[in-house]
Amino acid sequence: MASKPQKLFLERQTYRRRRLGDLIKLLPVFGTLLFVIPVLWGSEDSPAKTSSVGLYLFAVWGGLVVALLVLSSLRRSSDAQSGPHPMPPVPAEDEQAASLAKGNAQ
Amino acid sequence: MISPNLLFLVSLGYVALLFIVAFWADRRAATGNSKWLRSPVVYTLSLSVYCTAWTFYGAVGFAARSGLEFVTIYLGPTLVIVGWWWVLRKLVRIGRAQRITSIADLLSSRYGKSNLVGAIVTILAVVGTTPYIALQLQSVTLSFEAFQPASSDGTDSNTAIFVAAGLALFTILFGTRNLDVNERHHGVVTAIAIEAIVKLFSLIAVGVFVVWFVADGPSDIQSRIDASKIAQFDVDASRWIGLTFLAATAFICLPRMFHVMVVENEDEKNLVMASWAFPLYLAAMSLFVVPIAVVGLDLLPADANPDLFVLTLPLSEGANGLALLSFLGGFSSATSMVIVAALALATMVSNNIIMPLYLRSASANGVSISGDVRNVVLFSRRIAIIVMLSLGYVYYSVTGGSGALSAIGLISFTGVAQVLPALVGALFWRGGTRTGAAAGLLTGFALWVYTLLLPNLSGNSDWFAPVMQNGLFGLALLRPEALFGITSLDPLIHAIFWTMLANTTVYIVASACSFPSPLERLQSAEFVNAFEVHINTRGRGQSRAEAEDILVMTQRIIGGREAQNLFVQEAKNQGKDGYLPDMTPQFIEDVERRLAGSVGAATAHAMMSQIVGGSVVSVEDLIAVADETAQMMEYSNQLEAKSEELERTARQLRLANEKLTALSVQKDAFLSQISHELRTPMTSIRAFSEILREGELSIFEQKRYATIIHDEARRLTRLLDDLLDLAVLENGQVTLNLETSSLGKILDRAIAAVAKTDKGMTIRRSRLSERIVVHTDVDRLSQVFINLISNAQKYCDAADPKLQISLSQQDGQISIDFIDNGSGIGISQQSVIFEKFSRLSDHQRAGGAGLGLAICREIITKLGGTISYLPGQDGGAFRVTLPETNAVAAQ
Repeated sequence: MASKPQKLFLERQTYRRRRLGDLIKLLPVFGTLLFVIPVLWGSEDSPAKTSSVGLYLFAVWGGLVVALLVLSSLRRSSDAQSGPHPMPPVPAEDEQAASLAKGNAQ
Repeated sequence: MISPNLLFLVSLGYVALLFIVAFWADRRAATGNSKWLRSPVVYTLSLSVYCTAWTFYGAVGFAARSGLEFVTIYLGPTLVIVGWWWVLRKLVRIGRAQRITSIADLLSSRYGKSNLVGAIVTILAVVGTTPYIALQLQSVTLSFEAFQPASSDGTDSNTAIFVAAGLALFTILFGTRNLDVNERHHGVVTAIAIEAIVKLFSLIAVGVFVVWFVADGPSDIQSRIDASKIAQFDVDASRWIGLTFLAATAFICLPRMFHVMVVENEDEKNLVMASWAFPLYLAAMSLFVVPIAVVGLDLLPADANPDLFVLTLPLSEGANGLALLSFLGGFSSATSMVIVAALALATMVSNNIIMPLYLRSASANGVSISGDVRNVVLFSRRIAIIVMLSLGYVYYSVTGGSGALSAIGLISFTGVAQVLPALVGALFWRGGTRTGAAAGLLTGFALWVYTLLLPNLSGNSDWFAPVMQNGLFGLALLRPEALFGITSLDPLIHAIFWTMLANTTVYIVASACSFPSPLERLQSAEFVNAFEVHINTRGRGQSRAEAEDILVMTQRIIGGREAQNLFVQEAKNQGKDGYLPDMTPQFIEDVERRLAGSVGAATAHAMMSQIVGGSVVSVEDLIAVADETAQMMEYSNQLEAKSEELERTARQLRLANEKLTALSVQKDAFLSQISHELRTPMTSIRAFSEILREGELSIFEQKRYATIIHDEARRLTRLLDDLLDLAVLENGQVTLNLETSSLGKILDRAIAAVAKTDKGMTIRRSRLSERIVVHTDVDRLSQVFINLISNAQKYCDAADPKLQISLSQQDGQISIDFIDNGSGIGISQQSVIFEKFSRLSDHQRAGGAGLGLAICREIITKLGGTISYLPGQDGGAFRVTLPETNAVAAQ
C-alpha cells in the first residue's frame, strides 16, 4: 500500500484544549488517591517511616502544583490562539459592560 | 534578651504599618486605581488567611505530638483548590452573580431568601468561630510570654485585652468605614496580603535556620526524624482521611475563607492561578514543620511547649533577631485571621440577625423606614465586631488557655463544617429546600455540641461527666463519644462521622418531604443553573448606549413617532440637542409610566430595570409580569370566544336568509304558475259562455260549446282538487288509512279505473309476483298507480303501446316497475319531471296541470317509499319502492 494519508482530524486545537480541561478536572481525583496511599503502607511489624512518608507527600504535593501550573498555562496559551472555550471565565466588569452595551444597541 | 517593651514596640510598629498599607489601599481603590487588587497574586495571598497562628505555632506542636498527621489540615484545602472546577468555580460564579455578602447570605438567598436559614448559619458560625478567635489571642499571649523569663507566672491577660482591642479597632476602621454594595474591603485585603508574605517569610526563615544552622542539613534532619519519637508513621486511617475531609470542608465553609475567596473575589480567572499557587504556599508553610518539631524535641527540655518551638528554638540558640521575626510571623497570622473573621462574622450578624429584627420592630412601631439605613447597618457591624472579639476574649480567659491549640481548632472546624450539606445542596441540588436546610443545620449543630463542644468544655464538670460515662439519660448508646456503640473511633472522627451523617440525612429527607415556595424554586434554578444563565454583572454606569437602548425599546412599544417626540422633548428640557437625553431617574420613571400604559406596569418595570439597572430581572418582578400576562391572556381568550360565537350566529343567519330567499322565489314561481293554470280554463269558459249568451246558434253549436265549457270546468276542478291534495300532503296533515291488501288487487283497481280512457295500450302483468301483501294506504297507493298508468297511456308514442308492470322483492324493499315501450324521457329532464307544474310537452295535449308526479312523490314519501325514473330501459320507466315492513308474508 502506498504511504498512509495523514489522519484527518479537524479542530485539533479545540480538542486539545478540551482534553487539557479534562486533565485539570481530574487532577484532584489523582491527588486524593495519591494522598490516601500512605495509609496503606506499612504493617504491624514494620510500619512506614515518617521521613519517607513525608518525602513522598511533599513530592506528590509538588507534582500536583507543577502539573496544574503546566496544564493551566498550556490551556491559556491555546485559548489565546483560538476562539471561545468550554470553561469560560466571566470577563472583568468593564469589558463586559462595553460588550453588552454593544449587544443591546442593535 | 529581648525585653517586653521592645516586643511591644515592634508589634505596635507592625500594626501601624498595616494601618498605613490599608489606608493607602483604600485610597487607591476609591480613585479607581485598583488594578493590582484584581491581580491573582493578591487573591492567592489573601487565601492564606487559612493559615493562622494555628499553622504558625500549632502545626509544630501537632507534629511533635502526632507526627505527620498535621499535614492533613493542608492536604484538604489543596485538594479542594486543585479541584476548583468542581465546587469553587460555581461558588465564585454564584457569589458574583447574586452579589453574595457572606456564607449565611448565600444559604439564605438560595433557600428562598430565608431569614431563618441565615440566622441559623450565623449563630453556628459565631459559636464555631469564637473558640478560634480565643485560640489566636492565646497564641499571641503565649508568644509574648515566651520572651519573658521562665519565672513569669500565669497568663498576662492584659496582653490579650490589648491585642483584642487593637484588632477591633483595626477591623472597625477598615471594615466598616463605608458600606460597599459588593462588600469589598480593599484595605483589609491588601493588609492581609502583606501579612501572608510576612508569615511565609518568617516561617521559612526559621525553617532554614533550623535545618541548616542548628541541624546539619536535610540528611541530618532525616536521621533525627528517624530517631525521634515520631519516627513511625502510625496515623490511623480514619483520622488521616477524616481530618483531610474536615480540612477540605472547613476551607469552603469557614466564614473568613468564604469572605476572601468569594466575596472579595474580583475576577473569576484568579481562581486559575490560585489553584496551583495556593497549594504551593501551603506546601511551603508545611515543609519545615517536621524538621522544626524534631529538632525542638531533641534540643529543648522535655516540658517545653511544642506549640512554641518556632519561637523558643531561635531564642534558645540565641538568634534573637530571628526570634523577633518569628514573633512577627505569629503575630501576623493571628491578627489576619481575627480581622477577616471578625469582619465576616459582623457582616453576617448585622445582615441576618440585627437588621431583620430592626426592620421588623421599626415597621411594627409604625416608623417609616427611610431609604438610608446604612448608618444603622454600619453601627450594628461595629457593635458586632466588638462583641465578637469580646466573646473570643471571654472564651480564652474562661478556658484559661488549656489544652493543646490544635484541639480547639479542630472542634471549631467541625462546627463550621455543619454548613456543608446545605451548601452542596444549594449549589447542585434543585430539590434542596429551606425546611431541609434548617433541619439539617440544627441537627448537625446539636450533635456537634453534644459530641464535641460539651465534652471539650465541660467534660470534667460535675453535670456532664456522668453523661460522658453513662450516656444521655443513662443510655449507654447515647454516650457523647461513643454514640450507638461505635467505640473504636477517635472522638473527633466519631463526631465528624455522626454529625455529617445525621446532618446530610436529615437535610435530604426533610428537603424531599417538603415543598419549596415559588421564590425558593426560582432561586434554586438560578443557583444550580448558574452556568447556563447569562449574567449581566455590569457595573453602574450610564452610557449613551443606554439611552439609545431605551429609545429603541420605547419605539417598539408606543410607536416610533410618539417615542421620538417624548425623547426630543426631554432632551430639549435638558437643554440638549438631538434625540438622546440624559437618563435621569425622573425621565426613566416617566418613560416607564408611558410604557406601562401599553404593556402593563410590571412588564414595563421589568424591561426598564433590565436595561437601566444592569441586573438580572428580580424574581418578584417576574412574578408580577407573569400575573399581568395571565390576566391579559384570559381577557383575550374571552374576546376570542365571543367573536367566534358572533361569527357562528352570522353564518346561521346568512343560511337562513338564503333559505328564505329561495323559498320566496319558489313561492313566487308557484303562484305565477297557478294563476296561469287557473286562468287558461277560465278564459275558455268565459269566452264560450259569452258566445252562448249571445244566442243565435244552432243546436249543434250550442251543444258543442256547452261541452267545451263543461270540459274546461272539469279540468279546473281537477286542477283545484290536485292542488288541494298536494297542499294537504305537503302540510303533513294527511291521515293514512292503513289496510292490508295484495299488490295484485291494488293494481287491478288502478287498471280498472284507467281503463275507461283506454286508448288501446296493452298492459302486461305477472300475476304470480303480485301476490305480495302490503299494509298501507290502499287508496293513495292506487292513486299513484293510476297516475303512472295514465301517464304511460298519454305519453307513450310507440305505434303499438305496451306497458309492462313487474314486481320484485329484495333487501327489504318491494319494487314495482312501470315500463312502456315509448321513447322515454331524456336525461336532462329526468329530475325535473317530479317538480310541480313541470310538463315535458304541449300543455293542451297533456290535459293535466303537471302536478301528477309531484303528488305521487308526496304520497309515496308519506308511505315510506321512493318513486323515481328508471333509466336505461327500452322506454319510459318508473319505479316505485315500498319498504318491506309494510309487507306481510303471503300465506
